[in-house]
Amino acid sequence: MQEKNKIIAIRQHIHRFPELSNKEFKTAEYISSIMMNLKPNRHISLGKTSRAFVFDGKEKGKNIVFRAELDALAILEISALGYRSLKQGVAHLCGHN
Amino acid sequence: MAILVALAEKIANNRPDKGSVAFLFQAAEEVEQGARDVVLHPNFSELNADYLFALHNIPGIAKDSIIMKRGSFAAASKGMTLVMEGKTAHAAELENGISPASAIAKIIKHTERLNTSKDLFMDLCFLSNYCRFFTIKYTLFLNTTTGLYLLFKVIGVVSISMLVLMNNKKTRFNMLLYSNVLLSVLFSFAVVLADRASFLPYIFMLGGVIVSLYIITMNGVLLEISGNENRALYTGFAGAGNILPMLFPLVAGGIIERWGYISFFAVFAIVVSLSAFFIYKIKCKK
Repeated sequence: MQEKNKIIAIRQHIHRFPELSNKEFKTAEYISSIMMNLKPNRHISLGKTSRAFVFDGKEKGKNIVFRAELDALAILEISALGYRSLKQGVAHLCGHN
Repeated sequence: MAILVALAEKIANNRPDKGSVAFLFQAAEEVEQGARDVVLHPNFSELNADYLFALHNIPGIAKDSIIMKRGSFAAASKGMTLVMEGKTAHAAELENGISPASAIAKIIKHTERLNTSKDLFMDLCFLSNYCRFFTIKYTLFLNTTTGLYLLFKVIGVVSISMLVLMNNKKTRFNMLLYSNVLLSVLFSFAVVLADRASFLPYIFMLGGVIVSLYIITMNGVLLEISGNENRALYTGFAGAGNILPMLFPLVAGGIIERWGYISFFAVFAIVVSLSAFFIYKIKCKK
C-alpha cells in the first residue's frame, strides 16, 4: 500500500509540473533522481532530455526496453483536482505522467 | 512515467539473471519526432534492444488491463501551416485593406468538405482545423512608399522655390522667415494630429516647403544685412547653427525615447516659435 502511494505521489508530482516537447528538463531531472536511487547498472543519455536506465543481468541474453514519454501538451487544464497543472496552458492530458 | 517507475522498482529488487531490462524515458512524443531522435542517437545502440515496449495509456479501457499491439499504435499527425498576407487599413478606409478573414472562412469550409468525403481517404483519417497563428504582413511602410513620400517632399521644395522666384520683387525676407516659423509650428501639429497614412504625403510636402524656404531666406537675409552690427549677429547665428545638425538627432532621439513623439513635436513647436523673436531683432532693409 505504501509502495502504491509512493507511485501515485510521483504521478501527481509530474502532473503538477508539466513541460512541453523537447523542453522536459525538470521532468527528466526528476525522473533521473528517482531512477538513480534504484541503482541501475548503466544510464544512457539519448538526447537533450531522453534518458535510459539499464538493469543488467549476470549473463548475456535478450535485452528488453520499456518506454514512456516525458512531454505534456499545450492545453489549459480545467479541473478541480488537487494535483492539477500549476503551469498555465500546459498539462499532462495525454497521460504521460 | 509513474507506471515505468513502479516496474523499475520491481526489476531493481529482482534483477534479471540473463540479458537486461532498460527503462527509456523519451522526449517529445507529441511532436512526431522524439522517437526518431532517440533511435537515431549514437548512444541508442548501447541498449542493444531485442524487444521494445512503448507504453501509453488508453482511456476507456478497464483498469489494470494491458493491451498489446505490434507495429504502430496510433495514426501519425501531420501539421500544415498556412501563412496569409493581408494588408492593413484604417477603420474608416476598410476598402483599402485586405482581410484574411474571408480566406480563412473558405479554407475551413473546404477542409470540412474533405473531412466528410471519406472515399478520398485510403486509410482512417481525420482532418481538423487548428488555427495556430496567422501572419499578416504590413505593407504600409515598404520602400516604394517611402520613395513616394520623398517625391512629395521634392514637389514641396520645387513649388515654393518657383513661388518665391515669381514674387521676388514683392517678398520681404523677414516676412518669409515669419511664415516659415508659422509653417514649422503647423508642421509639428500636422504630424501629431495625422492619424492615417494618406495624410503623410502632404506632411512630407509641407516639410519640403519649410526646408526650401529656410535655405532661400537665410541666404536672402545674408545679402540684406550688411550692416556691421547685423553681420556680427549673423556670424554668431551661423556659427552656432553649425553645431545643430550634430546635436539635433541626439537631443531629438533622447526626447522621443523618454517622452514620446508628441512631447518631441511640442518642444519642437516651442523652440521654433521662439525663433520669431530673433527674426524680429534682425534689421532688414526690405
